Amino acid sequence: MSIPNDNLECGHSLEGLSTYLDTGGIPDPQHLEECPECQAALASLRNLKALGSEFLGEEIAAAGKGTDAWMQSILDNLRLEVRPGRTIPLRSDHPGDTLSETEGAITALVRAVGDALDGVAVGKCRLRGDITVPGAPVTLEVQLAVLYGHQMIGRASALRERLAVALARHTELNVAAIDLAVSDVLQPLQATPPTSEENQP
Amino acid sequence: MNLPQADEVYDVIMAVDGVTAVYPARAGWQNLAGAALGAVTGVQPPAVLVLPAAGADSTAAEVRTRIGVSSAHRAPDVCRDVASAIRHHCHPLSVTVDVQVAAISGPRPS
Amino acid sequence: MDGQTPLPHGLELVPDAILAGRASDGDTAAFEALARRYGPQMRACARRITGSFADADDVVQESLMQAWNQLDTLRDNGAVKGWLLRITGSRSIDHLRRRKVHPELATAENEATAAGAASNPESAVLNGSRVAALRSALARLPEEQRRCWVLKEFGDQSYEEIASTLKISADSVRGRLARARITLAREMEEWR
Repeated sequence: MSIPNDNLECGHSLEGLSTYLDTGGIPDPQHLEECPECQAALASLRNLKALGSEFLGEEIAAAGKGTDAWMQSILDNLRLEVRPGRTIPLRSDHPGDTLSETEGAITALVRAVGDALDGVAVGKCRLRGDITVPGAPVTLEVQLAVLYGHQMIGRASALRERLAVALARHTELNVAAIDLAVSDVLQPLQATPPTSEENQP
Repeated sequence: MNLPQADEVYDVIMAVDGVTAVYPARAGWQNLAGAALGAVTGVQPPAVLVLPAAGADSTAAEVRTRIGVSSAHRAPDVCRDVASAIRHHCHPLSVTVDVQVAAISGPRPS
Repeated sequence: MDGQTPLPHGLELVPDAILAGRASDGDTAAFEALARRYGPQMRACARRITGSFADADDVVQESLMQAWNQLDTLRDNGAVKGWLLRITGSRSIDHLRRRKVHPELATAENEATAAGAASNPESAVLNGSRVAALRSALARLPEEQRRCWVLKEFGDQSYEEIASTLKISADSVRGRLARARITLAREMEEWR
């Protein structure tokens, strides 16, 4: 068996080999190269490391994808609590009532509208102007990341139109302008998130 | 006169067309201490706050909440509907209502 | 009701460093893209430490909250993955400490997971998977060794980082990790 208890017969400790595996540092590298015992133990530890990576891969697959419902619900909670932004007043039917929307709710809406367009992702998104004052002119600024090969010309006006409709429907803001800018052109390389495409059991 | 029960008001709000969620009136997650407390005690801050109106006698109250709205409905209209439903429920108590739309979600906004 | 966009998303292609830079500028979309990218690994890591997906989800949410609040402390934007996992590991341990104080919070799922994995090496063998055998061997390790191993192999933390998370010395980490590996390697060889 290549894995004894603590120390190998050559006098080296398994702890030393374990550390070597992580740091690449060992007091006696020459010995390591020549000692069959150390080599065998190291091979064992490396096998375990490889198996650990495989295990992690399966666990990540079992944990699901970043687009799953569990992630969405976490992000929804974050959106709600982190940086809700300024308070946008709404008209109320009763004096004394305070009705409003959060700026965060509106920028999330803008993002959802933009992201629905193929090959486009909304980056920074700002409402310029004093949105806390009813009727004050407001400019919506949206930065877009566009996938290479997806022309924005022609589609920009369609997006502007959709955003205007959404803002008119869901807010009482006086939208003076909607400024779209392409901030990034993305190369359609392989995405590298460490998620597996396997289905969950 | 008794204040209306928060959980009854909660049900009234949830029953309004276009309301998808009722969130704690005061952010429970705004600091980590709050989050930790919630996780430890399992106690979430109440979704609806019903407060006696400051300085007034017992015939007035203030109701505060935050809601999520389906994008199939107009958010400002839903917000006003919620205020009206709360007022109706609390009648004859005189209430002031604070409702904030914290999320607009659901079917693709069109 | 699923109004979310499951479609491939432009920001998926943006490198970590750019996303992290934008996120620290206050760009929540960029931060969410990072969260989606590394969320599954954060969840996997937290679940292996806390014992259930329910606990893991709390931990991931707290971790992302903390990450968002502390983005300006991230010095190397390209190292955002390791940073997120480090926060996850440390919040997972905090979560366990809180549960120790409030044992009634332990969920049924925890107990089921731990017991099932620990008492059932045979099923792992029948299952025929070396990974399943490793999973059950891991569940049988002493708690402190298991934590070190998970923080190292799942959380990709250095000895010093694990030490600070577990509030023990780096030498203890070195020792426990070695013990964990020796036991696991031996069990895997016996299994083979």
